[in-house]
Amino acid sequence: METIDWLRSLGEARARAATEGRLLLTYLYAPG
Amino acid sequence: MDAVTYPHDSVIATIENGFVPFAIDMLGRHPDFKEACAGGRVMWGPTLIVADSRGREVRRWVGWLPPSSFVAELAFCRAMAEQNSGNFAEALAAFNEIVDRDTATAIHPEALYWQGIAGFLAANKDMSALKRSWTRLVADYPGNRFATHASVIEEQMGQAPYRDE
Repeated sequence: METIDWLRSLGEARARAATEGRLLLTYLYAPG
Repeated sequence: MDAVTYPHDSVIATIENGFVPFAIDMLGRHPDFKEACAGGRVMWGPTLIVADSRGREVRRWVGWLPPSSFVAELAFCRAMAEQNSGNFAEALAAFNEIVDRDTATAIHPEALYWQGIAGFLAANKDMSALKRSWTRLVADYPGNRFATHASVIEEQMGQAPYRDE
């Protein structure tokens, strides 16, 4: 099953968003 | 979110087609946590923050959404990002799509509100687009917050006096 490939580094996520012209979706969650 | 919303095909496709997904455990003492909060306090999870490719916050919300509403919310974020960048025709097209397609979702009244504004701005301050969307919003969603915002149009059109809640 396909899943979302969540990044775990904000710097990497921002760099990708800037390079690819995409929106950055930040998901803050409480486990459990 | 992880059990119902994120595994849904429409959610995966929407994120893959326009978003960079970044997840962070609020309780995990992640070094990026403070910066990820983007200057606002995060009191509850899930909190979701959408920013444009230049890092400007577009929208944030707290709380679970089912797949259809989550997809509509992300579409709304794309429309708002276009609007914020001054791309009013693109924003209007995106709001039109949400209004036509996502009628049963939580974002629909807010999308109607912004559809009117995008129409106004895209057509060189044409009031007819604003009136059309806002009149529909007021009629279809009595009591809704955005219908209340839009109800000022009735007063301006002389159709009804302002009604206090």
